[in-house]
Formats: sequence, C-alpha cells, structure tokens
Amino acid sequence: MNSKLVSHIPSGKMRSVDDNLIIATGGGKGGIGKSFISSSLAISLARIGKKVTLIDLDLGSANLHTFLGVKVPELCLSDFISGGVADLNEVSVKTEIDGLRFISGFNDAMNVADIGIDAREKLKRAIRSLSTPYVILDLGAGTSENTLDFFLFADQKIVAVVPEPTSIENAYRFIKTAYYRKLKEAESNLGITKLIEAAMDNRNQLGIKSPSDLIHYITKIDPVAGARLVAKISDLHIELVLNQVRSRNDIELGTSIKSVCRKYFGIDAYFAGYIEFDNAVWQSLRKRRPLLLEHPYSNIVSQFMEITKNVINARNIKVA
Amino acid sequence: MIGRKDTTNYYEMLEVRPDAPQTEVYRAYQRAKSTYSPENPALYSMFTPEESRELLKVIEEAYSVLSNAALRKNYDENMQSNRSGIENNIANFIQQSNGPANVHSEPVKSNYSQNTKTELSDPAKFQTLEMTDDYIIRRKDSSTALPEGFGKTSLSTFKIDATKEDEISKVEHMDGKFLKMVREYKNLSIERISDATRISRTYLMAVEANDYRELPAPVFVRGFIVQMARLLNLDEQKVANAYLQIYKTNKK
Repeated sequence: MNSKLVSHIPSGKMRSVDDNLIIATGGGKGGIGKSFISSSLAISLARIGKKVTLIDLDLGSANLHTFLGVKVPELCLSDFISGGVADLNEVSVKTEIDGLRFISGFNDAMNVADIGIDAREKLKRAIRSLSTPYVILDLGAGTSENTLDFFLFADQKIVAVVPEPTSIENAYRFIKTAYYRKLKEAESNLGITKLIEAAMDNRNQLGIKSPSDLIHYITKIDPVAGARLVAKISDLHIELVLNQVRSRNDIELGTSIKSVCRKYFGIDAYFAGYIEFDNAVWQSLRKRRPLLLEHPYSNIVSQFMEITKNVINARNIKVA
Repeated sequence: MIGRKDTTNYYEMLEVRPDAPQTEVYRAYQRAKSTYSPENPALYSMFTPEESRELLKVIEEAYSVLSNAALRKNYDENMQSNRSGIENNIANFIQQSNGPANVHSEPVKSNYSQNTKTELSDPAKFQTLEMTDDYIIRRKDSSTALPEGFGKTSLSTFKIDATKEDEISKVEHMDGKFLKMVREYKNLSIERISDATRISRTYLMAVEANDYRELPAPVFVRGFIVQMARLLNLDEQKVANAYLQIYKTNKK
C-alpha cells in the first residue's frame, strides 16, 4: 500500500495503519458544491501522486461522472449490491487522471430506499477493502439514514457549506442529526440509554440545551459512563469546507461555524479551508471538464491543495 | 455548551491553548467577540440573542483574567489542582468498578448504580442536582479566583490601592481628568472602552481631555458618560450629572 501523507487516526477509531483513509463529503443542503468538492479533492490527491477511488454515494441522483468528465460507466454500485459483481474494485473505472478511479452510483431503478442494513454493511466492508489508499465518498443532500451512516463511517468527515444563512442552518442540522445518531449508537453500546432518556425527560429543569450539556450532565451523574461516552463521541470530528466565498467576512464565517460547533456540540471541528466563488466552476461543468484540469493554474487549484492537506491532517486553515 | 457557559474553562472559552502567549489570547478574544456577536449569521440558528449575550459576558470575563499575568497565574494554579482532583476521582471510580482505566476499550457495562436509577426516576430529585464540575472554575466562583488585593470591572482586573479608592470616593469635581484617572487605575484602555461601548476613540479622548468643543450635544455626552461610568464601576447618575454640569458651564 502506498504511503499516506499522514497517518491521522481519530481517537477511538478501529482503523489499522494499513486501512485506506475514507473521506466523506456531506452537508445537508443541495447545490452547495458537495460533488464539486469531492471530485476536486480526489483530483488534488491524484495530482500529488496518490491513488484514489471516488465513489458517487448520492444514491438518489448520482451524477458525479459529469464533474469528472467521464461517460456513465457500464457497471455501478447496484451491480455490486445485487451480487452481479463480487469485487467492488471491478466496478471502479479508470479516469483520464492518473491514479484516480471512479465508482458510479445507482444508474438504474435501484435507489436509496432499496439499500437495507445488510447491503450497507456489505458495501462498507468492501469500501474499506478497496485497493486504493484513499477513498472519497460523495454523499447526497439531506439527512437520510444511508447518508448519515456513510458519513459516520468515514474517517474524515467534510461538511460543505456556503456562506448563506440557509446553508449554514442546514449544515448545523446535518451535524446535529449525525451527532444524535452517533450518541444513540454509543448509548446503546454502553448500556446507558435509560440514563440519557431520564436526563432528556428532565432537560428543562436541568438546563440541558445542547449535546455538550447532556454529556456534561451524564459525566456528573456517572463519571465512568461520561468518560466512555466522550471517548465514543470523540471520533465525530468534522472538517468544514466553505464554498463560494466572496469576501473576507465570508471566510470569517468558517471560523465562527467551527467555534459554534465546538461550543454547542463539544466536538472537534476544523475549518479546513475555503474556495472562492468563481464563474469558471459552472463554465467548466457545462463543458463537462473538471475545473482543476481546465484551469490548472487558477487560485482554486491551490485552495483545494490546502484543503486536501488540512482534511487529511485534521487541522485548520491558517487565516491571516 | 450553552448550559456550560457558566462552567467552562476560560481557555476553552477563548479556544486557546493554556500556554498561549498574550498576543494569541488577544487575537482569540477579538475573534470570539466577533463570533458571538448576535448579528453573526453563523450564530442565530444555534444560540438565542440572550444566550449569545451571556456567552459574550463569559468571553469578556475570560479575557479579563487571561490578559492579566497575575490573575492568569492564579487561575492556572487553581485549575491545575482542581483538575488533578477530578482526574484522580474518575480514575478511582474506574479502578473500583472495572479494573484499570481504559476509555478506548470495548464497551463494558456502566457502573450506573441502583441508587442513581432511583434518584433519576424521581423528577423532583432531578431538580436538586446541579450541573457542576470540580475541575472547571465556575463563572459564579470566578470572583473568588481573584487574589487578595485585586478588584475587577466587567472588562478588567486591577490591584486595589486604598489611597486611590479613598480619592475616588471623595472626588466631587468629576471631569474628564477624573474619568481618565479611574480608567487608568482600573487598567482599562481607551480601545477596550471604545470596543465595548461603540463610542469612538476621538470622543472618549475628548471627554477625558475636557475638550468640550469636540463633543456633541449634551444628550449624547450624557450617554457617553453613563456608559463609561458603568464600565468603571462608578455611580453613573452621579458622574453623569457632575460631568454635564461642568460641560454646560464650559461649553458656553
């Protein structure tokens, strides 16, 4: 396996150094650039010599191939899910970018609703076993069970947001839903469901207004359960990527959102970077050519390189 | 952390490392003020205006301690001793119930006791339980974090000087010179007052220099003086009346 840029392993993660690094891009709202970010991240990694598989997990409306400028591949995820193809690697296709392979989403009648828990688990195991050291999952909009499940499954979790109130609200909602799902898993594993239910039933009297209040309260009542809960939740760290930035104030929003996430949820949040608004983005999409190849010397290329490094290292962009 | 704003560690509040130099603390403070201003679009869907005002108060308080070397040292020492205590307690808990502490091990049954269950099942008892944490210095206790001989305003901390306090209490001629003397004694810069009150530095300096020609109409000046006096922990009505009297006499 190729050496990775880093071996960042979030605390509490069951991930060996030989596993591939799985990065997911979510964000709740549609049209905020998740596919653009996923594809550009994949291209950035490939351009620095890394082997990457990009998977279209926007199960309802897979169209990531358009961002890469490739035809709809003959094989797609449903061929693997249905058992027609046994090895997920065989579903991946080469792209014109050296080192970058692509797996198409569901191009047939099978859609997101048809994926049950068993199929999801099968897919997750196969993704973890893919031959490339980097895997990027492009998730769909919304907070469906499948989307959240794959988001939480990823080692690095990107939340895409544009500097608009609706997008920011949706990003928080997305993080909140993911957080509660994670909490649910943790409480059931730790056998403290009743403790949490009791706390939530009395949350007004206890002044519990946010997830971090809840964990703080659990820690007070039961320090051991609290410590374990914190350990379970601690691998939910997110990397914020701000798209379509137009001003300095927009960039500062990234720092603010990061801070709000830390204070409200008590989780590690990083502001991985921003992408300036550029008309070249939609122009290259109309040409069905990846922007990073169409304009290899643009600011956006260096902005993505910075984001790529920050995402895989789980660190903040340095804002001057 | 809304409910924890009164219990959070000052370093966490400003999002700086405990060894952060003063310049970094100042930058973090400016950033935090901007982040938690109620008009920030990143805030409104998570915190109510009231909550953001509360957060801002804690941010001011955190900065007033961390920007003062003596108070910061004292705060660090308190935090260190309290942290050691709670960490030992947690380690003991784990040791007693489950063997060696290892939070990353596979899930084991919680030591959530029968007594706790009984207590939790009674809503009345819930209300008696406080959300406190020994390793975090609580906001309401922060005044006790001040070393003896130190006082504080909402924006600063200062070493109490009995002579100055006596002088301040006796002054009747409360002009700009008096306000400047109190401001400097209480360790507040013109910039901080300007940041907190939104009164321009030019006006603040004109107030202190008794440069009445540079000041606007009395109604505005009264507003300036009330805000300044409030920040300096002075009797705002008394100071405003006295200053306005001097202002009106000299402006003629």
